[in-house]
Amino acid sequence: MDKTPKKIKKYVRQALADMPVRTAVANAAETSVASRDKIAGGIPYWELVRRKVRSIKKDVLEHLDEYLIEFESNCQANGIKVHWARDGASAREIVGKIARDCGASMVVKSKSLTTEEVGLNAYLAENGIEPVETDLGECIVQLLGQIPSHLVAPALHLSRQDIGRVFQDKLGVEYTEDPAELTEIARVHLRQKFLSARMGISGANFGIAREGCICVVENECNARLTVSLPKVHVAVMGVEKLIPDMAALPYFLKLLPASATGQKSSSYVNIIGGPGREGAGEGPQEVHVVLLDNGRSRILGDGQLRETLMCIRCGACLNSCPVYRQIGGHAYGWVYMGPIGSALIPQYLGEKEGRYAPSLSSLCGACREICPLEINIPRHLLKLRNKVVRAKQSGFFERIAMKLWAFAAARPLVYRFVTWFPGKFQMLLPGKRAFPAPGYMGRRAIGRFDSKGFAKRFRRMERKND
Amino acid sequence: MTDSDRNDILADIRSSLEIASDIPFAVGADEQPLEGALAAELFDDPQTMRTRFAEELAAVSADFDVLDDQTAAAKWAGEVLAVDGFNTLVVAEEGICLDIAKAIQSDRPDLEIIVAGDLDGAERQARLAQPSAALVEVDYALADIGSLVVLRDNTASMLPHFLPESVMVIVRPEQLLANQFELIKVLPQDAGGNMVFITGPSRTADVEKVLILGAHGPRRVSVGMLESAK
Amino acid sequence: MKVAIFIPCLTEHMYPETGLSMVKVLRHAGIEIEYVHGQTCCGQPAFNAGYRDEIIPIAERFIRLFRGKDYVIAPSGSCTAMVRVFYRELDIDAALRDDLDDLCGRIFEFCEFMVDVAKVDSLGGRFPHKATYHDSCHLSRELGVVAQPRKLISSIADIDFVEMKDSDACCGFGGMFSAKFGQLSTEMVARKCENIVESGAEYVIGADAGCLMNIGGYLRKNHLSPQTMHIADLLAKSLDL
Ligand code: SF4
Repeated sequence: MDKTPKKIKKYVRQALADMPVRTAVANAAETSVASRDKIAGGIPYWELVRRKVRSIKKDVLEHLDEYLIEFESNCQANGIKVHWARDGASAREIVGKIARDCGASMVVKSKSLTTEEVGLNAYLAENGIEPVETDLGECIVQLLGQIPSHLVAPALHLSRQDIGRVFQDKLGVEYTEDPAELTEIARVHLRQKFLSARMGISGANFGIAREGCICVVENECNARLTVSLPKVHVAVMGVEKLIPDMAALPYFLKLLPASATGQKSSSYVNIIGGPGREGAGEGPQEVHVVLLDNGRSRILGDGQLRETLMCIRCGACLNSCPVYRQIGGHAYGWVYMGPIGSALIPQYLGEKEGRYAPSLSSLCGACREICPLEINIPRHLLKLRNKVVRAKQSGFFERIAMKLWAFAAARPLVYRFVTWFPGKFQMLLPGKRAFPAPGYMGRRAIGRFDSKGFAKRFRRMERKND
Repeated sequence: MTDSDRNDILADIRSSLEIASDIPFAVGADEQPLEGALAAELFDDPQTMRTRFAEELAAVSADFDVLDDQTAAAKWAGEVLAVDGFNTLVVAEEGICLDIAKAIQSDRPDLEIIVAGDLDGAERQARLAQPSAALVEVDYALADIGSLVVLRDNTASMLPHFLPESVMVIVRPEQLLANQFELIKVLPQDAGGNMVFITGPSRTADVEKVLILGAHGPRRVSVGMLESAK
Repeated sequence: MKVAIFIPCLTEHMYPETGLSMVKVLRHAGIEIEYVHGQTCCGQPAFNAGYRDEIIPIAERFIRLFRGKDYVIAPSGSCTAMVRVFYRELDIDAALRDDLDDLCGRIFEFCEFMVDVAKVDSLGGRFPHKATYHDSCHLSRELGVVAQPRKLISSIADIDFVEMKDSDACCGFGGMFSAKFGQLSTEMVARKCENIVESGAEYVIGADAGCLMNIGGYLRKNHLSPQTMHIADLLAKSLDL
C-alpha cells in the first residue's frame, strides 16, 4: 500500500507486464467512453451546459473565501457542524474525535476520494475504529488492501475471479464469480454493518453555499444508508467543491452522471441539509462537514493551475486517456490518477515526489476534449513539467542535454553541425540500422537520418529548375 | 485548533486570490442560447411529458403503469407484490398508501403491514432491513430523466424508499414536472436541503462493468401514476 | 500568393522528401514559395520537456525570422501549434508580443492552409489505393484541423478512403514521452497499428512526421504491410510531381 509517485517508472513497467489488468482496464475504459458518448451526444445543448458550468465554477474559485463563509453560516443555520482542516493530519484528528465522542468502534463509509487523500482509513484503524467501505468497488479494494484504481470505479482493474476469490478468503463465503451473487454477498455482509454502525462517513460531490447543504451522488444506495442510518454523519469535503446555490445544481447534474457512468442521472442524488428532525425517529442526530484545504489554497495561488480545482472527479479523462488505458490507475502511485491525477500529484505532493507524474502523458489532449469542465490538462501538465525543471527535479543529464540543444537550436550554424553528426554516425552502422535511440530499440524502429537534409535537397531542386 | 485552521485557510485563499485567473473563458457569452435550449426541452402537453416519463423509467429498469383509482392501485400493488412473493408491505404513514395496503390485505389476510412512522428509530431500521416491499408516495417526478423526488420533511419516514427490496411508488399527475430546472423553480423555500432524487433501482457495475440491479437499496422500482385518489 | 515555408526538424533531417513534396504541391496550386534561410527548430522538444526559459531565444528568433511574411506554412500540426498556441506561454521579449500575435494569425499547417486559405479543395490527382487517415493530436485537438485533410484525400481520384477505428487516438509518440516511457509508448503505437491493419488500408496517411515515424517504425519492425505516407507526399504522388 505504500505507493509513491516517485516510483512511477517502476509501476508503469509492472503494469505493462500485467496483461489481465491491462485488458480489464482497457475494456472498461472503452465501454465507459462509449456509453458516455451516447448520453452526451443525446443532449443537444451539451456544449452550452459545459460552458455554463465552467463559468459557475470559475466564479466560485475566484470568490472562494466568500462562498466558504456563506456555506459555513448556512450550514450552521441548518444545524450542520462545520470544521476546517488545514491538512490531512488535522482532518484525520477531527474525524477521529467525532468518532470517539459518539463511541463508534466501527464506521461505515461511502466512496470518498477526499478521505483516501488524507489516509483516513489507516488512521481510524490505528485508533481502534474499524472503517468499513460500503461501495462495492471500494469494499473489494479494501478487502485486498489496495487503493482504488479509478476515480469512479475503484475495482475496475479486477476480474470477477479476483473478486470471487477475495470474497471467499475474507468473508468466508463459497466461491462464486457471478456478478449478481457477488453483489448479493456484499449486500448481506454490509447490511449488518449499516445497522450497527454509530457513524457514517461520506464525501461530498458538491457543497451548496446558499442553501447550506451538501450533495452526494451515487448508484448503489450505500451512500443513502451511510448518511441516514447511523446516528452521526460526517462528510469530508475539499474546499473547492462549492457551488453557489441549488439553482446551479441541475447544470452539474447534467454533466456529472453522463461523464462518469454514461447515465442521464445517477440512481440516487442525496441532498443533505442537516440532522433529522427531533422526534422524527430517523436521520442522523448530528451532521458534520469537514472542509479540507490540504494544499488547495496554495494551488489556487497559480492563476493558471487553479483551473485544476474545477475538477468534479467524474473520471471521464481517465477513460479517454490512451496512457491510462494501458497502465490503469495504480501506476500513478497515488489516490488521484489518470490525466487529472498527473496534474494533481505534483501540486499536492510537491515537485520532488511528483516529478514524474506530469511526464506520464503524451499530451494528446483527449482528456481536455472529454472533460465536462474542459479543463486544459495538457496545458497544465506542460506548466508542471516546467515547475519540475525549475525545482531542479528533472534528471541531470536531461538538463544538460536540453540546455545544449537549446543553445544550438538558437544558432543555425551550430545547429547544422550538431544535426549533421547523427546522420554521419548512422552511416557507420551496419545495414540500414537506425540511430540507437532510447525507447526505439525493442518492437519499434526510429526513422533514419537523411544524409543531406531538406535544405540541401531543396537548393539542388531549385538549381535543377533554373 | 479548528478555529485557527479556519482563519489560516481563509487568509491563504485570500492571498492566493490576489493573483488574477488565467482560465480562458468568455463569461456569460452563452446564457441566452442555453436558456433557449432549456425552454425547448419543455413538453408541449401533459401527455407527451407522461410518455417521456414512462420511457425514461423503462430506460432505468423501472416499471410504469397508469392506475385509474385506488381500487386499480390495490390490484396493481398486489400483483407487484406477488412477483417477488413478499408477505410484508411497508408504508411510511397514514394516507393513500396505507389505504391501498389495507385494500390488498382484505384480499390476502396473510399480508403484514408495517407503518414505519409508528415504530421507534431502532426498531424501524431493524424491521425495514428485512426482506420486504414498500408502497410509498413521493413529492415530485421528473419526466426527462425518470426521477422521483422525495422531500424528507414531507414524510414520516424515508426509510421505506430505500431499505426494502421492492419499492412501489405512487405518483400523482400534478406532481410530474419536465426536469430538474423546473423543480428548482417550484421547490418550497423552506424545503431546506433535505431531499433525494431516485432514478430507478439501486445498481452497481463494479464487477467487470456488468450491470446488476439491487445493490444496497431496492432491486425493483415500480411506479404507478394514480389518476384519481378515489 | 506567396508563402514562406517552415521545415520542422524531423522533416529536415529524416523526411526531406516530404518537404519537397509540399513545395511541389503548393507550386502546383499556383502558390509562390519562399524558403527562409537560417531556420532551425520551433523549440517544441525542450518546451514539452519543461524547459521554457531555455527556448525563449529560439522562439524570439523564430518570430523575427518570419516577421512580415504573408503566410508561414509548415507540414506539421504540432510545430504549427507550438507557435500559434504555446509561444504565448513563454516570457518572450515584450517588444515582440505584437509580432507574435501577428504571426499566430499567419502561420498555418499545410492542409489547413490549402483548404481554408488557398481554398483548394481538389488538385485533380489520382491514386488507386486503399488509404486511411491518422489524426495527429496537436493538429486535430489544438488546431481543430480534422475535416481539411480528409477533404484533400477524398478529392483524389480512385482513392479508396476508409476511416479506421479511433482515428483520433494518440499514436503514443508525444516527442520525449516516447523515449522516457518507451515501452508504454510502444504499446500505444501497437494499439494504433491494430486499428490501422484492421481497416485494411494499404496506406496510412498522416500530417505529422513524428506520428508517421512512430507508426511506420512499428509497422516495419513487425512486418505489417500498411505503409505510412505524409499527406504532402500523397498529394505529390497523386499528381505525379
Ligand atoms: S479533470 Fe475533468 S474529466 Fe477528469 S475527472 Fe476531473 S472533471 Fe472529470
